[in-house]
Amino acid sequence: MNVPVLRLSMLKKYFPYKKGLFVKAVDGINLEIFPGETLGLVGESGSGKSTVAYTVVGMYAPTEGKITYKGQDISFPSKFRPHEMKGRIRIVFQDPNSSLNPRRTIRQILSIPLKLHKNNSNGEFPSSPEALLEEVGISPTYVHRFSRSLSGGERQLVAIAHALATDPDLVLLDEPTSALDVSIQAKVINRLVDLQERHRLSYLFITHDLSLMRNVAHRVAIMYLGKMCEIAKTREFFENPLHPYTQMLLSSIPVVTGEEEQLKPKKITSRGEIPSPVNIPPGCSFNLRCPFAMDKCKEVDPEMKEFEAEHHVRCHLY
Amino acid sequence: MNDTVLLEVKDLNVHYRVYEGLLHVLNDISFSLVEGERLGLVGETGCGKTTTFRALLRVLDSNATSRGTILYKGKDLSRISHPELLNMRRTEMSMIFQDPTSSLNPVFTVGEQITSVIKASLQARNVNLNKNDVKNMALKALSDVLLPDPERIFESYPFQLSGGMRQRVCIAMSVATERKLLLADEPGTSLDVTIQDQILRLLNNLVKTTGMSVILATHSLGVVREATDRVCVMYGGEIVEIGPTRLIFANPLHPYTKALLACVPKLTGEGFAEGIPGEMIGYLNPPPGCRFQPRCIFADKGECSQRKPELKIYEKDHFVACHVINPN
Repeated sequence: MNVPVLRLSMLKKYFPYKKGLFVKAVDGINLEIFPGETLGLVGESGSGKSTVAYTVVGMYAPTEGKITYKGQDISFPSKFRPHEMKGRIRIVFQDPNSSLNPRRTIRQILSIPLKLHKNNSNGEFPSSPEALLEEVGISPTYVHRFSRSLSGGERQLVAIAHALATDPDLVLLDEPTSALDVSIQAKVINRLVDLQERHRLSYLFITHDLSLMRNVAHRVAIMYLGKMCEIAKTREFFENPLHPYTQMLLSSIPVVTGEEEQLKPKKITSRGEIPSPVNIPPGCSFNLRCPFAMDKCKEVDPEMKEFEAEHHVRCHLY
Repeated sequence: MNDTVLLEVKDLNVHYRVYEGLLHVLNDISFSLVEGERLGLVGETGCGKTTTFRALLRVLDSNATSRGTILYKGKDLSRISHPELLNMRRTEMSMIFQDPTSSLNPVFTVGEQITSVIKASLQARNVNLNKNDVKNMALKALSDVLLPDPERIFESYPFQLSGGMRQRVCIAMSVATERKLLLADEPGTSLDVTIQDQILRLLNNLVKTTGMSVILATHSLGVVREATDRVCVMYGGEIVEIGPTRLIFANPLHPYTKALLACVPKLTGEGFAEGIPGEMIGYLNPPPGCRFQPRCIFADKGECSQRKPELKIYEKDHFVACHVINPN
């Protein structure tokens, strides 16, 4: 396969908490994203999925490990990254109300990245705020408006336009639709898929909604307490979930049809909740909630293993 | 579940007075609830679910006016006196609010808050219990909602608990003493799926063991399918479809219900619809006639835009408010 757009190897991000103690938000993550691919990163709140995105985009300096963009090492915060690189990797935040400046018009918001990165544009990409709005499916007349006069879905589309303004290769989507209603979410997601096809974008799609991932992602990765549990192609992942945590997540999704009910793993019900990332239990971090936990699980942290081609799982059961 | 009607809402209207004028939020809402039933109110943000609950408990904001009858066990809640109303809230119905963080007081421990609820409820029932018994009741309520180590939770402040635990504390507070009706406003929305699953199972168990009725408001169709017997689908402050959960999901009738179901991403990976065109109506000048008509693909210019559709029976227990659907 071709060169990955982004590769994370043993990425760690610890935040100091008290003397000698650390919040291990991200604790050794390996993953690759290929051009034109959507990788779904799923996990409960507190599992460190947003920290991964923030570290990749350079808001945090990684504690350990390496981030490479097309073979180029970028494991440092954005202020040390080349200017050109900042336009290659962009991020869309969860809440457009707080990520768009309420005192600026849409034109002002969109023209900043355009001005800063005008050397990057290759000519085909929209290079005016109006064209950008058209690209994401909003009327170009909105450039004079303020973000408060837009609906929630439109605001998120403006945030997406802002991310696309520099013609990026990789867009990190940090729960872009979890603040929206399903009918609006459908619109935004369809637009994102369409944009990906037209511009060969790669997405790191962070969410807690597994049924959304089933329809959008090419590959899905599950995170639990800063570590990866399972990563596989979407189809594989949903038809043959291996890790007990994946099965627990799948079995707790409320679904709307009987066919979906058939797909949920039966033998597992959810219990307990995610422990604090300050004192992660020894051994496998999931052993306290796992119905299949063995003695070994309480002592030895399992390694990531390849169960079958492109289906990796980190569990002692396999 | 027996057939005694517990709650009957007839032509409930709620308006909010704001600077620009009058917001016509709830428009002739009517539904009923029998004892031991789990009813779901489902709809998107701003469709009036929380307003309905607030109207039922009479805790609407001061700029709101409500009209209509709410019969609880045959008594009109909108006419009873204030002491009677307080009594009602203390002994008959309770509500779980959407955001557990803001509905718990940050400066009192969980124990203090839950015992004060129990004390008020017992006082209203003229039961005298000593301190220890009250504390035991509180601890029992906390362990009923599957909180680990209730003694420690009893002593903690809300900020020391996680979101899922706070929500369970709120549920414990509302079911600590016997209630007939529980109003649950999005009890699982702010939580992770695994915790939400646990909360919903807990509510189901409570209904089974205590025989109380639940009205569950949520925007998640999946939650409604798993946790209710009957569903009201709401759009723009009106009930557009009402019927047994099984029938609604097997045979959705109203164009809005259909469109909403099509937008939900499915686990089978069959993709989802393009979304519903247009946006939620403004309540300042709601369209005359059917409120969904501006976004509806089946709407005709005549009847739909002029006359408000009434809830019509389509099949047994299954009602729909739409001019386009014809009962057979």
